Amino acid sequence: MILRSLELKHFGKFAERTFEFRRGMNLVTGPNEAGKSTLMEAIPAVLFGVRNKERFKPWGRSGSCAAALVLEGRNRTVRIERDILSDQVRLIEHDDLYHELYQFEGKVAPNGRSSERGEYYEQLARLFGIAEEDVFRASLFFGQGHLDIPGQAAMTAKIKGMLSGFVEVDYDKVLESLNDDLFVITRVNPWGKDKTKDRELEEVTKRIGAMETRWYEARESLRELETLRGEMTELDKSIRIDRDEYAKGERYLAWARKQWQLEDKEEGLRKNFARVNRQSEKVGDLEKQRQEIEKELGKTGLPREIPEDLVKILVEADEERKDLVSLQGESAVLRKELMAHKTPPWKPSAGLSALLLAVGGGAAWFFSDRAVQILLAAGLVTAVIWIVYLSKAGKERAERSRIQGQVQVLERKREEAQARLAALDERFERLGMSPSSIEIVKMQKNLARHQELLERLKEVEIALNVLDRSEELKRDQDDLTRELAVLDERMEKEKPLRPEGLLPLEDLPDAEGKLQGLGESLQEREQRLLELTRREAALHGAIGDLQQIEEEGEQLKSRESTLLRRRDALIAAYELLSGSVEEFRRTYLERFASEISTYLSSASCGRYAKARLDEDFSLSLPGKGEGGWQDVGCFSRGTIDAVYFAVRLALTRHLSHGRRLPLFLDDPLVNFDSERQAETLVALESLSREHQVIFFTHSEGMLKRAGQKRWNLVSLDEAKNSRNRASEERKDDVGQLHLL
Amino acid sequence: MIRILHTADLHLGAPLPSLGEAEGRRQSDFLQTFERLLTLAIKNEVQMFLVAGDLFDSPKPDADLVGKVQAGIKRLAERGILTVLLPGTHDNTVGADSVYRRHEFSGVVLLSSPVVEEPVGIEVAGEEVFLYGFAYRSFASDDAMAGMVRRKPEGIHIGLLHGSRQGSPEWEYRKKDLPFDLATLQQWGLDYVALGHYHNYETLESGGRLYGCYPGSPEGKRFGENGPRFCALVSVEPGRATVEPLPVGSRILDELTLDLSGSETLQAASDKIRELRSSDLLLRLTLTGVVEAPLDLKTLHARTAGDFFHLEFVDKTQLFDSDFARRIETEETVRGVFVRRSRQLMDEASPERRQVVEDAFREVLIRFQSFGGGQS
Repeated sequence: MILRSLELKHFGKFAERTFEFRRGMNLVTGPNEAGKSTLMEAIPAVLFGVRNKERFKPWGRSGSCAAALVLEGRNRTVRIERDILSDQVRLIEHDDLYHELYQFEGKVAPNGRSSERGEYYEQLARLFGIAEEDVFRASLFFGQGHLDIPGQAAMTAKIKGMLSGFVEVDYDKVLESLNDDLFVITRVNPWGKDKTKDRELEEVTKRIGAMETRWYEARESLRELETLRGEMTELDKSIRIDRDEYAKGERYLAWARKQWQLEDKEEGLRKNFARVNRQSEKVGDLEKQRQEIEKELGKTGLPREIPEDLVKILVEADEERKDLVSLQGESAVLRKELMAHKTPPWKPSAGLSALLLAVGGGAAWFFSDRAVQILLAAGLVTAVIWIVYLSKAGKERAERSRIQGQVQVLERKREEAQARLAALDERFERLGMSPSSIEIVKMQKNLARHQELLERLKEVEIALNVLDRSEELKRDQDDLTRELAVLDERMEKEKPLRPEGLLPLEDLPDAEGKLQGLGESLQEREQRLLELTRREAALHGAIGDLQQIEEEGEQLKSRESTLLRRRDALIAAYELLSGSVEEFRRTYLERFASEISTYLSSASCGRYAKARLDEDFSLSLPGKGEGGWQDVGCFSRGTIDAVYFAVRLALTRHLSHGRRLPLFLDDPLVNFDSERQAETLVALESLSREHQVIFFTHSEGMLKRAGQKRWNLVSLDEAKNSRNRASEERKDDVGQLHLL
Repeated sequence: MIRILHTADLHLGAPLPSLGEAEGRRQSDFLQTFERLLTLAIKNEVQMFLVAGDLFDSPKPDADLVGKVQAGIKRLAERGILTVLLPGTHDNTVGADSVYRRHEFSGVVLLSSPVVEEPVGIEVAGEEVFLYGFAYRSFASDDAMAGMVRRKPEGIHIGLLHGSRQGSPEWEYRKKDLPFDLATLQQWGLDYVALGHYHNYETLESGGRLYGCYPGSPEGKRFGENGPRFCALVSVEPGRATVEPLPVGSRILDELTLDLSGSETLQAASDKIRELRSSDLLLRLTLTGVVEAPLDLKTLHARTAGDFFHLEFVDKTQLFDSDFARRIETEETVRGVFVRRSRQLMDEASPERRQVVEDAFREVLIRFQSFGGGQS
């Protein structure tokens, strides 16, 4: 990478200037105070900014102060512009076809802490490998007059850090992340104390263990289940067989016992039969009696069950009838009496009166004198007749009306009696009996008989109730008859030929005991079968699915193997990297010293080919004679400069990772004697084949060498610069050729 | 002669968690393939439909699923096709509530006894057919294989076995329940043995005579069951059987290797992967080759997975030989030392260990990218 150009706008004393540079050696010349240092400082000013804003602000000018530089690398160009006052930075990267590859624009103040700043510094690191101003100044930027590293003590630690390799990658972070990832997987620490909590790997392993246990359990249960099933089948079979046996045995024993019991039974049967017969006869008699009584009862004309009030009704009816009859009698007497008390006949009285009157009239006519007396007498007599008559008639009428009153009372009584009778008749009819007086009379007559019959019936029925019912008896009788018949038949058939091998009577209880034993064992086995069935059901419920367990186990195992592989990879990665870091840190001083040595040889023109770097970063060179190493401070100034020069070159080289950055030198050889100067320049020229060198000097003497060696000349003198411009182009071509 | 459609290992209702969101769709693929098998049976006018185990993936499948299967079997029965089911290792009859104990499969010959006491005799197309098969149960079926021997010369004798053929390529990585070999089948003297358990199509023949056949899973369940899937259309007569594989699967599983050497960017790599795209493909892609930077598999997957039914990667790319590794190898830096040490370790390592070192290398390089300079 080279610095192609540097553009300054109102930067220090430069109003607006562009400086072009080329590969190889570039010599920037100008008298003192011409702005060499300003030009050189412009480079870190663009890259990192300026803390003191006033420093490069043109005198007497307000407004802008800006600078830009163009860097050219393989296939790309990077332009970085900075407004010094506002710290506004623009970084554009192009490829060689001028396609934009990257652009950054933002404020990057030297003290700021913005994300823009972060991005910008990342880009610097990408482009240069150096992203810090002090490192920049300690390596490729050689300040005026000295080659050693400015602020050495503070820089030593920093440079040591950089040398140990922590610029390109933060290895501690990488290691930490490897470590973290490892402990996400496992708690086992291969390098120290294990973590306390289980991680995925341990969990998976444990689950696999649990799975295995479950698998074995499931297999065991399965085995038990199948054994159980076998046992159950056997048990079931034996139970079925023995149940048959038991039934057979039971039947046989029952038969055998029956054989032995036949005789007993016959006697029993006959006794029974006789008893039943007797009873049956008795029942027959009783039933006949009952029938007769019932017939008799029918004849009484009374219902079987006499209604409670019948007797009362009967009595009442009887009384009513009697009442009626007596009433009728009474009324007849009264009627006769009434007849007797007729109104006395008026005719005799009237005839007598007329006669008297006639007699009197006649007498009076005759005895006209006396006629009045006669007529008075006749009238008197007539009056007496009629008084007698009327009183008699009055008496009769009173008698008659008395009798008639009595008759009427009687009549009413009779009607009432008749109504009562009619009501009674109705009640009879309601009871379903003829209300005819004949019947009633008969009933009345039979009531006692009925009562008696009922008593008898009751007795018979009680007797019957005590005995079995005739149908039952009949059935028993039939059964007994049949049984007896069967028994007889069997007795006839079998008794003479008692079955062969019939268990002797005395062995029967024994055999029965055995049978009972079998029954008990059957029961036990059935119980056991039930238990086994229960156990089977329980096992079924508990049994894990082997297939599923296996599948899950397989998945877990595959996960485990993935985890194990990653664990191994992480462990290996950690060990590899930490080993590398350790090795690097152990050897970097040595290696850096050897890197210094390669530059030292050319910087010291072959006088020193080896340098040693100690832990405190102090340098030693081989001492004179055989005395071993000597601190660099013991050597001449020239040697010291050469050593620091080599150190810086090695550092630049190291930090830039082979990027071959340009080297900026501000008259570093100003204090050198001419011999040393010449030597250093030789070394620089040889370096310039790899690194662009921009050498700032006020020494006119250098110009001659520059001309000889065809360096690129950049003059700060405006006039000279324009004069030189024409020849520059030519020289550039030559330079290129030279590089080829 | 009778015609049979023989299938096995349908694994209906299998959980497929590795497929993520596509699991449900894949499960319905399985069910559709079952329906397709029924249609094939009807179209090819077979007399019997044999399932040699693992119709269901579990002994306790969803009632819903069982209902669908029952309906399918009924469809066959309505067309006079007899279904014969053999419980397998997944849909085993060990538990009291196993699918074949809990659900009624009417009109089906279910070979659910753990041993063959006597073959099941049936009449098919006027021929006497004897079916031999037992529902494998550990311990109960220990000597069950002995029961598969032909009982009498007359008739057509067909065996169903959910077992493992010794010497099969699957023998190496699958379970080895009920091991047998061709000689076992020959000994049995059956006219045809309908096999199940191993998931790839395979016929067992000797001297021009077919003894048995694995139709394979009709729908690939796991990687390894790659390529087209089949069921077996079998014609059997006494002493002779022929089989024709009928393609039946809906989607294809495949395992391919892709060399990503020279695919500098993620875009280039995903373009290369996308060339393999198919929406019916379940692909396990092993990425090989030398790559410059560790692959960002997540992003790569996000970019390409949409072109496949399912896509998974196995990263076997090599970073060791990358230019990047070679470039930093000479550096006097920690990472330079790291590359050099890794290479040395790699050279010394055993082949198995080498993979670990490669992984370790990748782990570190990924982190170099995250924590600093990385590729530069």
